[in-house]
Amino acid sequence: MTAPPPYRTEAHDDAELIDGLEPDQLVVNTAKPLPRMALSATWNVGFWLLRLFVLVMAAMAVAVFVAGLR
Amino acid sequence: MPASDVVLSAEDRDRALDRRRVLAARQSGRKGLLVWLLLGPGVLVMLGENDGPSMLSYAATGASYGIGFFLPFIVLTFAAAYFVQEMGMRLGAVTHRGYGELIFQRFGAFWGWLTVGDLVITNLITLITEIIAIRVGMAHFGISTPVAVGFAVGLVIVSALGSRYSRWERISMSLAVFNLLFVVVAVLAKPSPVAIGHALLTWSPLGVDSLPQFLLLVASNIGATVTPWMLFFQQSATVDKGLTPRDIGEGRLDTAVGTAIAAVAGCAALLAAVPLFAHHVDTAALPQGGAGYAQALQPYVGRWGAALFALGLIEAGAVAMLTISASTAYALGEAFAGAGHSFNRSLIEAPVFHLANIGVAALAGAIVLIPGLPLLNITLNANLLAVLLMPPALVFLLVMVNDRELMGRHVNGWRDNVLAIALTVLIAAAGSASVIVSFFHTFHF
Repeated sequence: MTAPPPYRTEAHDDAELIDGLEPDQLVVNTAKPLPRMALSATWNVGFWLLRLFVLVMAAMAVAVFVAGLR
Repeated sequence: MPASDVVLSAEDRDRALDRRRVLAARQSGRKGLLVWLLLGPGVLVMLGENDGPSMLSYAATGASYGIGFFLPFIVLTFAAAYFVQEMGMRLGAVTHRGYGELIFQRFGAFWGWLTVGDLVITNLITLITEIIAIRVGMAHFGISTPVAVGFAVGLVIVSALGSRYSRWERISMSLAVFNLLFVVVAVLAKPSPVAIGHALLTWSPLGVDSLPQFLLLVASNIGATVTPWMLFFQQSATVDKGLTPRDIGEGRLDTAVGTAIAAVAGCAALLAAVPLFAHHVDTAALPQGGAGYAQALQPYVGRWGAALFALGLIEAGAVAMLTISASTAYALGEAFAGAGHSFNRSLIEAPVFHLANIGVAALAGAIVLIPGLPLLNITLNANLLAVLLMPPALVFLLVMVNDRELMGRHVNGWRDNVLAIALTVLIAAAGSASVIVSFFHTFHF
């Protein structure tokens, strides 16, 4: 893990400020990655189909856009 | 870990200072102050989406079809936007992680980079259209294109100075209020209250006789209110602001206020342009390549009305510059784990975040300055691209917001899921129908 960024000069010390945040809001805790989700084969196929949808539709939209320039 | 052992980063300290004011307002029961302190991401995301191309698109709809089907349809799309954005806000408040960050961590780098890559490309195209809108608005006052580009990029740089989320947010919100200028222009256009009431109650007249045109307008209007950058932005801004599960109620209010203001301003842009429909003005022949609505409206709303419409366009483009650049910065900052992704960090502490924020705006500005580019054509197609990318973005959101490991008791209810699935199917159908019909129409299959 990288070292925490340097402090800026503030009129408050850490003990006074710590109550303002929930523990899981602290940068030191949000920097820890969450575990990877176990995706079923169905979900994987679903995500790939959606990707295919985007690619095909985007290609058709680009073709119409290019034709419109002529 | 005991509180005394916790090391606060500069980002934590800035966020904690803002949060202490929220906690004090909550403890003292000052509800008004609490709501004021927690307003921000929801208002900004909705008014950021009432951007230059959206307002031009609403005006084009009003000028071409008058008061009819599209007036209630705009209200419906904003209701859909509220529904989607509430889920993103809830996900951010509970997990304290941005949308891109969660996709990288829960689904892996492959899906993460695809999602972020899609976002960066569409954001760049959208930012080009924002600068075009600012340019169109400024041209009304005789201001040149390079000055308009300099203003747009300079605004992004100046707003990020100071390395404080709260400062950036309040600058953006004070600009966003001027979205309501369109309401003043709509009043000056004197639309018929009877026609407005009739349209809202009956969703008629349809007024469109060409199927490709109708589908493109439906897709454009959806793309003007429900887009992937909004998911990235509101969730990350919710995290940057420091909202917690206790603040979800105020987060919903923030989103609802933003939705209401944006819906009123969007409908106002449509109504403002209705005199052009009533007087059979050919919108294709408008000045500035068909975008010179302010100039065209002058005979009907007066000099001041036209100037306010132009100022509204500048505002719409400016706020979107800030929010869409920010969503790019959040997405890229979250993609590079450990790089930092907060306005509470300085350029030294989060170089990827700040360089992405300024860099994408500067790149869009540089592209607008290239002579001979088909800027109007780019503007018309930007919303369609956003519609096409929305279904996968919504599916990722739905999976995460139903993930009990992440959300605990804040997971979606079954009614939310039924509505979200219906919305995803509707957006996919509108986007694909528009593309397929345009494709076959263009290539005469």
